Amino acid sequence: MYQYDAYDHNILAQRTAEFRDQVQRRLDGELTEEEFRPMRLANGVYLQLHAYMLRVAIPYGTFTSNQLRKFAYIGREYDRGYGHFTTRQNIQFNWPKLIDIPDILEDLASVEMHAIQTSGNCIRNTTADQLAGVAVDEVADPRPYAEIIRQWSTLHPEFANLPRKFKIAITGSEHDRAAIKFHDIGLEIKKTDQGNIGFKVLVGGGLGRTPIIGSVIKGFLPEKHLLSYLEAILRAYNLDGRRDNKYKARIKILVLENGIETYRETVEKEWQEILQENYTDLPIAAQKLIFKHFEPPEYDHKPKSIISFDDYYKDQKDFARWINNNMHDHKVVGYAAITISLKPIGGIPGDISSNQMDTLAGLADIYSLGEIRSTHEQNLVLAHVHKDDLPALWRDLDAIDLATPNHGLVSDIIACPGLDYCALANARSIPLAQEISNRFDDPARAEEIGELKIKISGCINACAHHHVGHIGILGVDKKGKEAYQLMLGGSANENASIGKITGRGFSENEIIDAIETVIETYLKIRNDGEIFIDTYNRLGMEPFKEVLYD
Amino acid sequence: MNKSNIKPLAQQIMTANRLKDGTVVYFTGSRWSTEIHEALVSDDNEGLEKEALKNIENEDLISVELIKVDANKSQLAPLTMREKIRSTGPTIRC
Ligand code: SF4
Repeated sequence: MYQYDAYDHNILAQRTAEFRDQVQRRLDGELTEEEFRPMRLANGVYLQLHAYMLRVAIPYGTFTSNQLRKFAYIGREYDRGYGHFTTRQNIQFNWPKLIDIPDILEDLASVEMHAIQTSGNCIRNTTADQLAGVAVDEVADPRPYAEIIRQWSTLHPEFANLPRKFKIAITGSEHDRAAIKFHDIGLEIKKTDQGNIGFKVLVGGGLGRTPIIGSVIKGFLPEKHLLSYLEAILRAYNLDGRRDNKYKARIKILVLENGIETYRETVEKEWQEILQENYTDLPIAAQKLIFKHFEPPEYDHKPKSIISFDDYYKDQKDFARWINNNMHDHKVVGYAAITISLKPIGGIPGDISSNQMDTLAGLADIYSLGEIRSTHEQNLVLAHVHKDDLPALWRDLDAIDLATPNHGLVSDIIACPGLDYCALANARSIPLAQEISNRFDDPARAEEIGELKIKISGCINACAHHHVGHIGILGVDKKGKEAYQLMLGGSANENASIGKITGRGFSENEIIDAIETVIETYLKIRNDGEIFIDTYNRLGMEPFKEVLYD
Repeated sequence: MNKSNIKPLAQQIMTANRLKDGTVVYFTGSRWSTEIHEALVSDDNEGLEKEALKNIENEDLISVELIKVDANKSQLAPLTMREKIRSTGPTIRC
């Protein structure tokens, strides 16, 4: 993992001191709220319905057990004993007091973390495949590139005031676990037949009010030109992106209005100029220094348990279920990666208590080299577990309610905070997720249904990516009452698609039955081996519409 | 402003968040309280707003706004789900 140098520490110390001063000046009345608001947002501090919210950046979703312990401490000391993992692989605290936030930022800085650029019209946290570095289908580890992007984009003066926020995602595998087609820039690592590394670059993807699948702007960008090319894309957007209308200010609208060909030409022109200046791309020596932080760890396994994996798998049905659903193959023989579901049946998607965080930090130390990943699907991953240790890990996780065997199934729902917290929401998301989860609480039924991605957003901003859910739900306001639009057929992976609305919306009392109707219909009409999205792609909306509105 | 003879649906109260910690508060007529049932109800929006704004300086409040309530019930009830949730907390946790 990347470790801060003196320069990084110094930046954070200065930034925290600066914000402490800004908070004090606001409390003393020297700054108005209008003056202070952009300052707090620049430090990840939002005002929600009942309290402030602090969003902490987790670069490409990778963090250490010590950092997790610090999250647990912050949750316990300054919040209400829990944290919430988001679809940007970040963590949010829902109840911090403004007067405490400078101390929280100091605590975070002590473990090399911060909240800079988690809000505002700047380049946000770059997200990555949660199986980075261990996935068997990976061309190369995306994390070193994400770190290079992090260093380049952090406090980049030219891009501190873009027309709108800007999100980059990167994957090292063709199978896309990072939803790169729905980011302002999506990067897929490629390798030529000659063994040269580079990137397929997509631009102009996004969700929100206008969902758009990103277009390929460059089929193969040589690795060494990553930063100059990103800079060219950002510069063209910064100059030409619309600032007259907030809803048309994302890069996707610029690409849509001009066409990808025209935008590509503009970017190429910028790029050639940047290449002439020849100072943006990272020198090989500097790149090597960053790569050093991501060298594969030593997998010198010493068994921590005497239970045999095979015997336990045979005898213990619940363990076998967890393995079948939550375990992922690993590059190194004998090892596995494990999804820790933050979707207990009837629970709040993405939430984890401080006590759970503390215990999990200890388990990461024992079983997974002290490292944890967060996923854009609001779960966690232990990426380096020896298979011999899985029975013991499962029992330890089960003891703290973190062994729900539902990864990728009907109750593994993405839900945004919605109207329970968010000042922008039209309707609640979390209670819906809880009800669906309870309705489908039988694990055998969930497995029978198979892979199913349900995503629920409380408003059109689409923080829960509802457009790309196999089943997507959008909260709307219908004459002052919460109502829900239902969408089917979305997908966030390499076969990206945007869901279609089924028809008229549903009331709070109708929506869960409507979802069950959709799922029961799929079970009746699916062919052998199909998952929900296959059936939808084969038969379209009609069979579902018929039963929903008959 | 008075608490009687108020027309249904036109009744309003003033609400805000406290600057230092974000807590939701309501204007009682002389101070800001965390209890919605202590809020001063009025159908005179301008008068209520003027009175409340006079009391802001000492309180350090943000996001100050008028919201509609139904005061004819035994408990003062905001009309929108958003304001109900603001007054009682998330429906999923306390
Ligand atoms: S989708 Fe809307 S309601 Fe949900 S968190 Fe985002 S802004 Fe808030």
